[in-house]
Amino acid sequence: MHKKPQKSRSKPYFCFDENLQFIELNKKCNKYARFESFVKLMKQQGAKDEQAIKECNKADKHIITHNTKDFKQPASNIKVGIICVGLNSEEDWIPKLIKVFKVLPKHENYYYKTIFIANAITIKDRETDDIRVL
Amino acid sequence: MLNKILFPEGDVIPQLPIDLQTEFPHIITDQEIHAGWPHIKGTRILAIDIFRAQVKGYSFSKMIMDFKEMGITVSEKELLEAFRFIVEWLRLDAQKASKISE
Repeated sequence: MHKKPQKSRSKPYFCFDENLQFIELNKKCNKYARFESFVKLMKQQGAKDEQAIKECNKADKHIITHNTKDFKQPASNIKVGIICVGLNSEEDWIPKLIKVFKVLPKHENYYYKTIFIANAITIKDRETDDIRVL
Repeated sequence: MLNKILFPEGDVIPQLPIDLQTEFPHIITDQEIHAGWPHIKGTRILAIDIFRAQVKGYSFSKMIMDFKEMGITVSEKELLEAFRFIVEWLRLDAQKASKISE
């Protein structure tokens, strides 16, 4: 049996970590992107960092997390984009994330990117090592 | 010292007192989950996030509902333990800091 070719995505698809702030994110940013929790994707809670990255990559869903350490440098075969939020308050980071969504509106814009949101927004291309600051 | 727990700088994790690890059975650390930050056992929910949400006025029942929406099952007992864990950690940290300054 032939698998149906996957429709190209326009809006980016993200999987978010087990954190209450992502409820607010879903409400405020659903016009820019689609969100799903790690738990719903993996059908299990409490997944290890590496396992979560692998599953999101398999499902072609970018990742958004508050873990700024282990998600920063994924293995080279990881294609999906990773957004690491380094700010504690959603009032601070959600507007910055909206800025990212406006600059990178499509799903394919995030491939091989690691985006670090702190006081500045840093976008690193993991393939070329190019760094762009918004 | 308090800032390092509530507002960690970079990737550095403050030292966790050993007493805390036995006193709060539902709160554990695992190097492969959030770089070893204390979280609720069987989840990826950080204890510090529960503390922050409580301080902001987020009730436990609302947290349980919101986590359920995300597909996560967590009990009020575990949330309360996460909150108490951070309170105790902050207390021990402040105590340690005052001893050093003496």
